Amino acid sequence: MKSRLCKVLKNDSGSIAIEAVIGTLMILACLVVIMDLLVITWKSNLTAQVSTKVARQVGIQGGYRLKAPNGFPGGENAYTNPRELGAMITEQFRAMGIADGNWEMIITGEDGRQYVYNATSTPVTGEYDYQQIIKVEVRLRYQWEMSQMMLPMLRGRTYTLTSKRTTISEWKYDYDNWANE
Amino acid sequence: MTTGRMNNRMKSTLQNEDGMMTIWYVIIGLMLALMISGMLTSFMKFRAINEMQGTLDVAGVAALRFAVDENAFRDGELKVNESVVITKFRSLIELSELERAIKANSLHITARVINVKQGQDLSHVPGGSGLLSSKDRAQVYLVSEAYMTFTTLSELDKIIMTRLNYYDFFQSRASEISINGTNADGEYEVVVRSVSRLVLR
Repeated sequence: MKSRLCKVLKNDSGSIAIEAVIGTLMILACLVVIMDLLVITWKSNLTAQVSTKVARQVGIQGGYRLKAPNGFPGGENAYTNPRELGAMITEQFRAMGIADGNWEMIITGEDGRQYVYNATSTPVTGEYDYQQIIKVEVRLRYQWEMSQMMLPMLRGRTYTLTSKRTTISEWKYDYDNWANE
Repeated sequence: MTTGRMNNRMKSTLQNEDGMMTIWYVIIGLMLALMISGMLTSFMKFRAINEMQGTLDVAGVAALRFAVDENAFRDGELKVNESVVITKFRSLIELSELERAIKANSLHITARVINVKQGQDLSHVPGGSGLLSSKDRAQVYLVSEAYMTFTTLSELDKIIMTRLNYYDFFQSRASEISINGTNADGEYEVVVRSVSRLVLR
């Protein structure tokens, strides 16, 4: 019995196959991490683009109201209403393969009131009068989708990418009331 | 006799192929690890550039618009208070809380305002720069540059970008921003340039 066990243990045949399997798995894990990194880079790029665009627009329009304010240059056609904005952002995130529940956008006015949006809500905001500060924040939750199959420490973990922009409202709602006058 | 045995042993060691695969895997594994490290560095750099560019662009236009002299504007004149532009620009960048997104070791931002008056000779400016338009209009520019440094492996620090080339359409010549960084010190430098403009229409 003992000598048979010794024989089995000392037998080298098939050891290269085991080495090959372990080595290949390690290389595969590395490649998968690289693939995931590329995807996350693209997601971060998208978050940056969306927050920049929304910040610029919310500044020009002085918020997202259901109707364009009186006298808005170009009228209703030039004004991006909340429904158009919501559809645009949702579509962009969906095109990147980001699930509806995995992103949100937060617009905060100078008064500290926060408006939180996601794929199911329409981004209506308050009115941000001339020269008020507006903060736009886009949050994106992501996972190491392929890597977590090979690396247990990443399994089920969610990370967040945040992109913040600060701007100033350029739209005057209350024409009868100017500072310094 | 002893030398002969030694020679034989050495020969058999050199000809032995046990563990050959392991050596290959270790080499490939090391290369891939270096590659991942390099890609992580590029990701950080890419993200920092994106975030910085977006923040500078948004803050630049907002700061220019904020500093417009309302009284001169009613008279159809474009006038901005330069110190107000710079102060507001910096405060907007601070409010954007970039530290968390870019995780830079050091960050330094420079900004300057350039006025282009109505009737100014712009014949030296090439088309496509956005400076020329069919109508002669007064414009104000805010040019800002952000310098950031990050930590990386010194092996990866050899591929740094030490200068940023661009066409300076204000002076009508090719220009560059050089970074006084050193190779292989484990710190890499990134520079982002942004130009915002406000046009009187």
